[in-house]
Amino acid sequence: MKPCERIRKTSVGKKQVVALTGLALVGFLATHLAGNFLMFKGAQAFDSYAEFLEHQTLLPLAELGLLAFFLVHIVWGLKVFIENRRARPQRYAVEASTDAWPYAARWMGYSGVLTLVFLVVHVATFKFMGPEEGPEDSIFAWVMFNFKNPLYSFFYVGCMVSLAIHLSHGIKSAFQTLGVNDPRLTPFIERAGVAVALALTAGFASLPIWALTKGG
Amino acid sequence: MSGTLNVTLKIWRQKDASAPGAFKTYEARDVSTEMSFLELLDVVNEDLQKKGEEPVAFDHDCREGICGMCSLVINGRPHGPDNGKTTCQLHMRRYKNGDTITVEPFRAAAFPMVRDLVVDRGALDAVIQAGGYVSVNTGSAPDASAVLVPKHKAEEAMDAAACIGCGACVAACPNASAMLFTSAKVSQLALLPQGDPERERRVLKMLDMHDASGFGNCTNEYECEKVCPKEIKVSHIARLNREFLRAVLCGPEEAKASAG
Ligand code: FES
Repeated sequence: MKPCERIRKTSVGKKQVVALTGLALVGFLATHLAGNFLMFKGAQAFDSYAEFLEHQTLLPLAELGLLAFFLVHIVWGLKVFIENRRARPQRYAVEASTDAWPYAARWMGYSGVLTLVFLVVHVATFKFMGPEEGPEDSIFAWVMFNFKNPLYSFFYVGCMVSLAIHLSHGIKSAFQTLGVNDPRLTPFIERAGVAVALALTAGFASLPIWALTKGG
Repeated sequence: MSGTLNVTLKIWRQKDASAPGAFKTYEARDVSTEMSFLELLDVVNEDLQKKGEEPVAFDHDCREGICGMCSLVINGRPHGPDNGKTTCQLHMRRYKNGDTITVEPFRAAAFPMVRDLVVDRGALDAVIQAGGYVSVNTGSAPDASAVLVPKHKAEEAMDAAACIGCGACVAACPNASAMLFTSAKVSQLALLPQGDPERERRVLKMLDMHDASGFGNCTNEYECEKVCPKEIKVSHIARLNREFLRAVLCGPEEAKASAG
């Protein structure tokens, strides 16, 4: 068997691909968030940043790469999730977890699907629709216009909470799947994973909350 | 501190894999606190036999915590409430008078139902047969220092070798994955010089069999580690993950080919 085929066919291989793409996507989220923070600097800073991005010749290539990472992560993640449901067809009458809060791990499939729904809405709003739909010809105004809609903002914040739950298990889990487990390192990775998950979520959620309460 | 208690047992009864199963309730009166949990089931079965009913089928053998034959999910936890103990080492002094105890079989697609609380754990044997061995003629015992093994590796290998193959890890795993079991053997042999020549082949073959047997994928929930009667650590799963990467990315060609 060739390495690619082996990875595709083995449980551990599939998980390692999900883990690697997942970590890469966390990196993407961090850069995305850094860009978002320009909104706090005002319309001009944010709009010129958006324009700068749009004029990159390699942008379509980067977008395609990103799409590929998302697709692989989602499709293989779901595959693992579905296989796992099949492996335990009959559940226990008494379910006693040994963990105080086991749900982040249990809900990976559900929080992942919710994030996918969010992605579709998000890309539709901010890539395939734009300022021409809104009141002014400015990306900043278009974002604020959407965020000032409480329904949209609640949906956005809700999805970010679900993302925090996803990443609070996902980040540390990715390291274990890739074989990183060390008595000194692992407790740090576990705490850092949760911290990164919370920081990303708080960062992303801060914008709609800001827009709703005062901004622009 | 001996005494007696009355407990209510809700036990899963199922004639065979094709028949539907259900819980049946049994009242156990004047149970000695000195009794083990399996002895309690023996007493319940004697009563059933006297009444002309079918006794409850359950697995057991050594009853001293070393063979891995006993099973049972007791109140939602494989091998009952205590850490690092098998069901046969669980005693009734752990319970209070009037307790209700729910007893279920290990549930996993890879463990077909046999009867009542007995499931077929043969899939675990198949995983070992696929690669959990060393195929060299070892001859007579070598001199103690002829094969050098660093102490920390010997200790870790010994920890992994403590696995008794009971399948509690599978029973506890929300995905019914046997990754703790598989990793214990992969890790043990990867740590020792005797296991080194076949390490790439071993991990690939054992994982192939693991997946083909219908066990789920490990999602690092670590429920297995907490119920393992031999307290085997999930760090062995991480080592298995490394062994897999190593075998796929830099293993010798013939190992990969023959493992296919
Ligand atoms: S009966 Fe042998 S370990 Fe419990």
